[in-house]
Amino acid sequence: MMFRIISVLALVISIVWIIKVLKQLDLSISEALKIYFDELKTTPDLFKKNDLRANGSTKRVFTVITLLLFDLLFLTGFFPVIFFGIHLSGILLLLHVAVAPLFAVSLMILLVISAESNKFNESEIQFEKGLEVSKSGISKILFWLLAIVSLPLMLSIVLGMYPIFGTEGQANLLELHRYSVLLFSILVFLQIGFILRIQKENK
Amino acid sequence: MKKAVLFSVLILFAINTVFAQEKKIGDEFDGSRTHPVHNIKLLDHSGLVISKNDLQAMPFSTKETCGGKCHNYDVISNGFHFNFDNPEIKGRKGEPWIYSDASILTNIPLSFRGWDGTYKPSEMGVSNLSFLKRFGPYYAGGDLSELDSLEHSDNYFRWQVSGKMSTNCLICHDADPYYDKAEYASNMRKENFSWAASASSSLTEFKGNASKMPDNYDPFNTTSLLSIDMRSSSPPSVEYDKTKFDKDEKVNFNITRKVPNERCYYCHSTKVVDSQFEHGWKNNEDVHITSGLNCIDCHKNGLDHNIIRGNSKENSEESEKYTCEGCHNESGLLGAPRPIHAGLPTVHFEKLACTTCHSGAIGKENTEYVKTARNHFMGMQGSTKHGNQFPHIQTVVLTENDEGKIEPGHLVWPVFWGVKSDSAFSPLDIKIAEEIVRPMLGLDTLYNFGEWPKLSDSLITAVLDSLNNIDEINGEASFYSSGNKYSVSNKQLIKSENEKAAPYTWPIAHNVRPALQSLGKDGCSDCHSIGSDFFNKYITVESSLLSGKETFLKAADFENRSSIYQNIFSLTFFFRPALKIIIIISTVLILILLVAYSGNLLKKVSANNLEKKD
Repeated sequence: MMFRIISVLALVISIVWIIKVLKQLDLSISEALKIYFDELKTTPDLFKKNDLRANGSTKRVFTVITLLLFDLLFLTGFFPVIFFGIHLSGILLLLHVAVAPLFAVSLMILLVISAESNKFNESEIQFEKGLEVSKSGISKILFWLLAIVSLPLMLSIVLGMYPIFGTEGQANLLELHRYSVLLFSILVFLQIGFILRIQKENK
Repeated sequence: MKKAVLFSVLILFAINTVFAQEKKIGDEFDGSRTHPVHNIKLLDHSGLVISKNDLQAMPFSTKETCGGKCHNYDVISNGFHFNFDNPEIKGRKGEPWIYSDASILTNIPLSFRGWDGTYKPSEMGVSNLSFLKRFGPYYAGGDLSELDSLEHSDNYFRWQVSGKMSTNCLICHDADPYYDKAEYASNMRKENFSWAASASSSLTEFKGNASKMPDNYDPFNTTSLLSIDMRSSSPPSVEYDKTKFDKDEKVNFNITRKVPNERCYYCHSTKVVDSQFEHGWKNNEDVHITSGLNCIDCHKNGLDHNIIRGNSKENSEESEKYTCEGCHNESGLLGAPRPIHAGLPTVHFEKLACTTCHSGAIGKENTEYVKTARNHFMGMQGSTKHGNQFPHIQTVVLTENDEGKIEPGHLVWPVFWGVKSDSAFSPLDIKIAEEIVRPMLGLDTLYNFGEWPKLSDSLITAVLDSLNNIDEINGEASFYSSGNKYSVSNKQLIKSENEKAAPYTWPIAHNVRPALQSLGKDGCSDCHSIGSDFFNKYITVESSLLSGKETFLKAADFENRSSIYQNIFSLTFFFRPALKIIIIISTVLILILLVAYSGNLLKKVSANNLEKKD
């Protein structure tokens, strides 16, 4: 119950914050989407050296795929748990299990191809008068936090499939998975909000 | 005046209540854990001391002998084994008394507790006396066999002959190895109710058959013996072993507080009719028993004899301690090991009872018959050892309980004739069934023993027609079998699914198997594989009609689960290894990425720090 209350509160706050950002930037949803995906045109530098020709469109495709899969996982796993208090079962469970590995692969590829463009510049993090981080710096921190949170998110489930953890361990893994999902969702919202701000300001 | 009467009544009620709850000398535990020796005088039903020199010895009364000065009989006799008429005591449904008579095509679960799917014996005209005569061998006395208020007026004279039977303390607490339960059973069958407790003890020699005595039989009036044919039957008479009396007319009762398991087994034994049926020595005991525990270590009781049944529905603090979870999860009571359940997702504890994986016969493709002591009269003299003896009870059937958990149980298909009027429904009165249905069916139950009879539609139609045309029946007669109701309309037998014919199931808990013999010991595929017995086991639907073939239902139907979904879900287990590998590779690559790029951030931080220092 506690998790449900925390989740609902966190999600409501995140959504309100996104709406506030859109209002501040005077953007409609369609404009926001256009701006968000324009940002993805940034050519990822990582593969350039290897001449794999990964470019902005690849990043955009994987972002769209990852977000869609994340939505599916959210709707099949997170949504029924926090809003209806029901456990994952039936068709929802089948979908969740089927989508999960695709999401893992898609997220991994997206993180890899976006890593280079999320390297910190000297101007983004300053320590002269204490810690100072620019908006693009915050966006990059969020990116790396997403990468970090994705580890417990995925490991908590896959480790539960091995006969390593007993009942308490299993329960803890499940809790870890739930809170990782919550944190991951909040980071996604924040990431989107900051990207929109940066792009709008750049324009 | 009215006030004074009311006040007096209240005072009397209060006094009665106080004394009814009063603990007597033997009810108070003084702290000593030694064996209590019972050198006591035997008292008869009138409370008179029985002497070894009595000319006409009377049976001793457990109510007077045990409950006179030492134990509070009123409190004890309200215990779970004796409080059948108390409508407030319902509890989790359990094994019914199955009235099975193939000659009248009847196989109906009965219970006094009002469990859903059972009928009270009185609903089908079974009086308490008839009930005791049939099921008395496994009835522990008191209540039905003792209270005048529960007698049927038709049986008044028979009750005078058979006498009353008090709560029989000895059936559990007599630790004498010569205590004879089969003798007790035999005497209950012979309507020797007031003699049964004495007859089964090692203190007496008993002979006689009260059921053969005429209605006017009076053991104190020898003229009533004139009408008895002594060549075929003798009046009940008891003779005490004089060597067991001391000079003060006391006898030594080998009474134990710790009831031996074998006493519980007399009523609570079961035997699965499988390939090991003939070879009992191949079957293993419950893991708790082999670990050194006794039944009463968990199924405890206080003076009230409300024995802990071991399920969470009992709602008492003490009973919660002795559920599976109570011992194995929280307290480690009785040295219970804490289960690890490594790799078992916690959702299983929400959807399954512990017994699902750890109890009952190990899963097979089809259900098997199981014989139970109380319904197959096991342990009695001359009991049938045939595996197919009626009633046909199937096991293991996994069903969904009230809490939405799947649990293992036994199942019986009700077969009976019923009458529905505008206001009520009841099974056909047993007397009408015996007088009208039995001759019409003309079934020889010895022929094809063990095979439930199958009759033609026309014969069932004819019986229903006859029943509909007799005066005693106010309503429409129907026949219920294999989940269906059969009624007559325009001379045609109409079949329709009906919940009154739905199978009666009840949960089982024993024998408990250890972890290495539990369901799931070989992994997820024990249950989550295509066609696994867990969801796809076949439950036989035995038909009583020639036109109705023997059909099968799938276990998933009883579990309230979709077998199609479960089989599709099982398919995902083929891909689980790939799923695990994909996710592990993904996480490893992300980890490498994080390590690789963490250098960049550290470099920035250290560069900034250096600049700051400069």
